[in-house]
Amino acid sequence: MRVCGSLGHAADERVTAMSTLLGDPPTVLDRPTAALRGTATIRWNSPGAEAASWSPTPLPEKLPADARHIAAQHDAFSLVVPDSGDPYLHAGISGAAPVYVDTAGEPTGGAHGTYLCSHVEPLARTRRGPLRPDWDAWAQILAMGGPLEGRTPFAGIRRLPPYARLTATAGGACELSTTGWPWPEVTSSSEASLDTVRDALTASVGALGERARFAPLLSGGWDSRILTTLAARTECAGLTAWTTSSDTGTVLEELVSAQVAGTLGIEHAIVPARRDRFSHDLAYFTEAVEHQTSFHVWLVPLATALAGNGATVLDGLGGGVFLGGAFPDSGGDGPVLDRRFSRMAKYLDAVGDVLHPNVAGQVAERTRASFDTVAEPLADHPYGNTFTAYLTRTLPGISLSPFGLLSRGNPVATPFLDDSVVRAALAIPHAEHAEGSLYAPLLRPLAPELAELPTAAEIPQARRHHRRRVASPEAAERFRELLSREPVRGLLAPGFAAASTETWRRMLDRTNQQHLIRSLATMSLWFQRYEDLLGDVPPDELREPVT
Amino acid sequence: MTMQLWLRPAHHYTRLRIGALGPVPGPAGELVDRDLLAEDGQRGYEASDPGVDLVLVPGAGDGGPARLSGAVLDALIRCERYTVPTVLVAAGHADLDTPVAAVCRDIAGTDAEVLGDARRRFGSDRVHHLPEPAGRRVPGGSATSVAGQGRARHRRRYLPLLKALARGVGLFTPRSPLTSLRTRLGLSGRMRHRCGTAR
Repeated sequence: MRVCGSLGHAADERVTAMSTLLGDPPTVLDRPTAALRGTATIRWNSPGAEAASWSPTPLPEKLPADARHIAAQHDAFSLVVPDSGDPYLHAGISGAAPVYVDTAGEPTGGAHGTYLCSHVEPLARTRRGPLRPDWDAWAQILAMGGPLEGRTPFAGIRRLPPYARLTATAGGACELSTTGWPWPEVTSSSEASLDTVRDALTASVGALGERARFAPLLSGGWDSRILTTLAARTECAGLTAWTTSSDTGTVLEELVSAQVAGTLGIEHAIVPARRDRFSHDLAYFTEAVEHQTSFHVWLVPLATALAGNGATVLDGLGGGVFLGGAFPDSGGDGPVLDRRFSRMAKYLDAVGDVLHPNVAGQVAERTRASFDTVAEPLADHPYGNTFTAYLTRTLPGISLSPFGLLSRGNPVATPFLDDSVVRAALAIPHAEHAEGSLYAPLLRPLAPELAELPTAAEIPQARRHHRRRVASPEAAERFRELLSREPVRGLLAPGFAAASTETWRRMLDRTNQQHLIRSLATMSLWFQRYEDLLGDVPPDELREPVT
Repeated sequence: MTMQLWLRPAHHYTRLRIGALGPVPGPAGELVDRDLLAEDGQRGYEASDPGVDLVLVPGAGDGGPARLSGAVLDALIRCERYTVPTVLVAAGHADLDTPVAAVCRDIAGTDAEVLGDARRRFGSDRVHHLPEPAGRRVPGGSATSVAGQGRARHRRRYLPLLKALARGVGLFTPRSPLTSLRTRLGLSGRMRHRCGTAR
């Protein structure tokens, strides 16, 4: 899915330039106050308005003539141009699929407008005026795995939050409204039933199956098992489930997924990662997610194997958070915000090994400030831990695997983020979600045998003994080469760049250290890609001591 | 690493306990103590520790398993649960393409071209060349025909092959030449046989 456009009195030239960078998708809307070009878009009209909607998930041919309904029912974006009134852009309800806007660039040809795009790069490359790194975003990519509050690596280019509405006013300004997101307003009830969640999931996958062919991703966990089961019930013949190694030193994921596929009687494809493709896969991933996260580099072999086959990838995004009780609050006496921050920013535990002391301080401070902005209003919410995890980890980082990497080559669907599924899950009291206890009862009526089959995480294993590609000699050398380049080198702990390959491999074998190294490599590749736009940018801001 | 390892007493290697998933062709097959696929009643997650140090998996081209199903899947889960290294014995390029190959910990073989392909795919540290055994081979030799000549004696002929497997999967960790010499001279107290404890 490739989309670009503008709101308000914008310059056509910039939209044309962005469109060229996206491969010249067709024009969908062309009005004085709004323009849209893109693929996978659906035009619709309501009395007194002209509009178009889009989503990385296949949409039905007919949509309800209301942007809010489209956002809720199909998690799609809509650009609406009323005959009288201000044009606006409405975001999908989950916020998982990104749309980026640039509201801070210098006027192009005297035109004040807001430019929007499904990708960051066209906005960056067509911007007039200065372009500089958003060092807060980079601090958060290092500490949490993704930039918070809608930041991107470029200052001034922002990702729209869930259910946001961007309106171009008559005066030329653009107003962003983020109120009215309905999910935090859902109240739980002791009468809520898991049947409602199951029915909503079944309906979501079933409706999608009427207009799409599925390629379910299958790991050793619950979320993908449930989606694959529903896909197998919807698609009677020819279904293949797809698995690759998550490169964590065990093959239980592959083995358990083979059991699941065998039980369902469907084909199962395991796509192994190639050692000699590590550098390629790292570069492919960082480009696909536009250098905003480094979470799922291991998914690239699967994404490239699926790319272009036309099937809609089923991804379990959101299942663990909204249904599985993931990221529960830890016990302890400290303030709840402190505990949530420690959990979500756990990579900070390793900053001393990898980062210069001043940089470590800057990263922690810049991340905590944004984290508090997001998490503080949720501190006392019954699902505060859930929404905090969703807004500070799932959306900024994890969501870019389906809606960045996989969507590069295929339509993608994430049924656990269907509005009816999330509402039904949140209606169940928080405590009942603990430790994934809803999964087996949810699956039992659909596939009793699979409800009893242990997940990969539930099988006791003495030690993870498989050699990890990310900690291989080839990967260590590549990481060292990337991190030894300026300006990233200046962020490293003294002596780290010159340490032996064995030291680097040891670091890469540890979760937190590896995360920091991957994120710094992402930064290095970002500077390489945008060298022509950014020029020589010393990371002085990140090296200043925290006062 | 080679300098550090060659002084290790040979009998450490001859004590390796080797399992397999089906008949393994070639010299490596003569070292197999147990075929895990022949063991009934070892299904699911309650299966016992296989009690071997490593498991050889014949390539699909040699009649080995290709698909992850049935007894093969049960045996591989059993190995994974108890951290038993699995070594695919690959004779052809196609042996590297199967789902079973995708879950084996290491790759071993004798064909230089196949091993070169495997190194590009899996990495040099996961691919091991199996040397030919020393001396005359026993026609039709197998684990069962070994009984008459003594296990250790039989296995000494396969020492290079055993060393390649043991070192390849990391059952024996390197130690200093001085420590090795002290061990050989009986100066280091009891000798440490690390088979079965390194996992």
